[in-house]
Amino acid sequence: MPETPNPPNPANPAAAGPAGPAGADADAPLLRARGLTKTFRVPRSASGSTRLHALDGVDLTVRRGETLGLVGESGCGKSTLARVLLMLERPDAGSVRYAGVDPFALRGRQLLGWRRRVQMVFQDPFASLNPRMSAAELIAEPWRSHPGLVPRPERERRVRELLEMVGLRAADARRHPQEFSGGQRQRIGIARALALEPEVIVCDEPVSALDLSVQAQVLNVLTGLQAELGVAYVFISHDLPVVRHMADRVAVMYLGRVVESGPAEAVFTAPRHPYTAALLSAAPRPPAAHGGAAAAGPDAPGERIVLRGEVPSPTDPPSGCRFRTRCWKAEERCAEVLPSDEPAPDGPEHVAACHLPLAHSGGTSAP
Amino acid sequence: MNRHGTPGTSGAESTALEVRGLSVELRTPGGPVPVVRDVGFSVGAGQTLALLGESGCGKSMTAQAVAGLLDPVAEVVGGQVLLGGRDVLRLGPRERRGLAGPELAMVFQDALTALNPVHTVGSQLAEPFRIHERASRGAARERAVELMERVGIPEPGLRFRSYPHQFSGGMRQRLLIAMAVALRPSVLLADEPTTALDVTVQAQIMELLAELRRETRMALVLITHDLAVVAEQADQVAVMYSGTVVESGPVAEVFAAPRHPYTRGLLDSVPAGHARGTVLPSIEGAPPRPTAVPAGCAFRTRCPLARERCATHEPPLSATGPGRASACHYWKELADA
Repeated sequence: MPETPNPPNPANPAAAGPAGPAGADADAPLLRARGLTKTFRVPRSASGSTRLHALDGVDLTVRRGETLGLVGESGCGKSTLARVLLMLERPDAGSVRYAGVDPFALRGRQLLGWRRRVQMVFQDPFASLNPRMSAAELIAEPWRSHPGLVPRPERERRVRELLEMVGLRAADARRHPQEFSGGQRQRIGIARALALEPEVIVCDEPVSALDLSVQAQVLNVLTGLQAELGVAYVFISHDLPVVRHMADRVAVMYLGRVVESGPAEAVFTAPRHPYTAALLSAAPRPPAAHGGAAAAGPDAPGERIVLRGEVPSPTDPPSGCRFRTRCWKAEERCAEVLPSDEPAPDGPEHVAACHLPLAHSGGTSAP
Repeated sequence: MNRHGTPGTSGAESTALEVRGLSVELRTPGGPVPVVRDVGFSVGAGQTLALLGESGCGKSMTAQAVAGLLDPVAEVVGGQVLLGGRDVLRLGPRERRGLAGPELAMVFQDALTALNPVHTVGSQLAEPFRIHERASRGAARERAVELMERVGIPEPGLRFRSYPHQFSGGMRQRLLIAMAVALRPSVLLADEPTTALDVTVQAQIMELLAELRRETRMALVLITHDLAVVAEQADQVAVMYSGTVVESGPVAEVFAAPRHPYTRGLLDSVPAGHARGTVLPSIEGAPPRPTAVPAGCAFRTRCPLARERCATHEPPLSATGPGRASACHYWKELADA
């Protein structure tokens, strides 16, 4: 607690605490959320509701060293979920366990140790870096809160190392954000997150502010770092081809709920939830690397599903299944009974919350 | 002005819009900065041409110059914009305003800032009929309600009296499209019309634009940075880099076998088609600022094919085959590869 003296081995301050990975079961997921619910008070809406249901019973698991893709349209709650995972918001109900420990129960030094291990990369590299600080100062700034992590004499060397890890030059250390392009700024943001040697990095739309020719560079940096350091990513994006390229597993959100989740390949090739299928089918197909026909990102054959209408307001979500107002398969029971997660035939990991899941002809299951 | 013919449609179909050698400069304290350099393209009636490029490449500035909506600090310094055979850049302001609506219209990216917040959407939609066709209040209202129905706004009779903030993003974009097509223009410029929208709504808007184009045979100029949108929606594409067109031709051909290393680089860096987690091919560096465009070929500092000649000689956009053009000295090496 606060009065605890500095631990002798400050590079590993949390190891002694209950949040330490050492004591935890090695197979236990790094991060597990159960039944997360979060509502915000808002001015009275047309229906008279004063509650915005941002999250409504969200379950989520992140394993060590993996990438979990979080997909959904604006207002689906993916950013609120990220904020809860980072402890920037306290959920109204539900639990978060990080290596078996509830971070919301931590205080003082243990809390600080936990914060070090969960970091964030922001969407807009033009707004998230202080223009008056140099690249070196930006990258070293987190060490002011975690002074024991890197001994002072080693910091300069470590900054150079981090710059090189994200593909910048050591000579860039003294330059300021406005001297860098968008892609380079995002690299600084990544280096800054890495400075605290985290186990999880929440990346909120990390490449959507970047030009296409630069996106690939930043994605490559993220992929390379994961292979090198074994860091896990929660990768939030609306760009389905990008998520498909990055993610091991995917969770699809709609109006505050996870409607489908599972191994990325299974979800992308054999979606069970009608919303997932519509989302995959609505996204324009990017041209193949070099070839005539479009590389079918989502392997949705035939007709494009164009949904009617738009996402209902989260202040007044539909009863039963949240998606039923736009679903072409909806029946009476969809309005009455909230569907629970049902496993897909291609594996117990692949689940969808739908009364009438889509069937896929044989051969879609993973070998 | 235009050095080697205009890419786009050939003479077979009637050309709705032809831009030749368009150049735009920004006036800055440090002197004029060229932001659009010798841009040319043409679109046939009922066709879609995509102006494809990354931020800062000059694609929006090109569209604004064509529509006569440039910011006062920007100035057209050369070129022609031929609309139905007339060069609109030579017209006086009054004549030019007369074309806005019946001949040429524009849909903007951000529908909320493009609509007037203090007037009902109905009065804004009726305005073109009141001004251009001198319709009576009642007749204009009737036309506006029809239009709202056509673009898929539910209960148009009731929503007529609503204000823009009472509509969702997708509905606002529908309103903007309705205003743009009200007078059945022969050319519609759409500047990133779906970028601010969610994917499922994007699909609805693109479908609406395609339907309207088929119905009225208007020519559509689609300004976008999204390769997938281009692949699905456009007949022709003009790829812009650093203020100028570097490659053009029919979309299917350009995307199947690009003839400019920049186009090739863009196509390669799309994640789809690469195995998960593998290293994506990427274009090194970032696009140059308009104030510091490299001499010779603007792309040479990032180009895998670059050699000495590229630093000294700017490659002109030249025909490389029927309907196709590339601004690269060494395009044949890409074609042969």
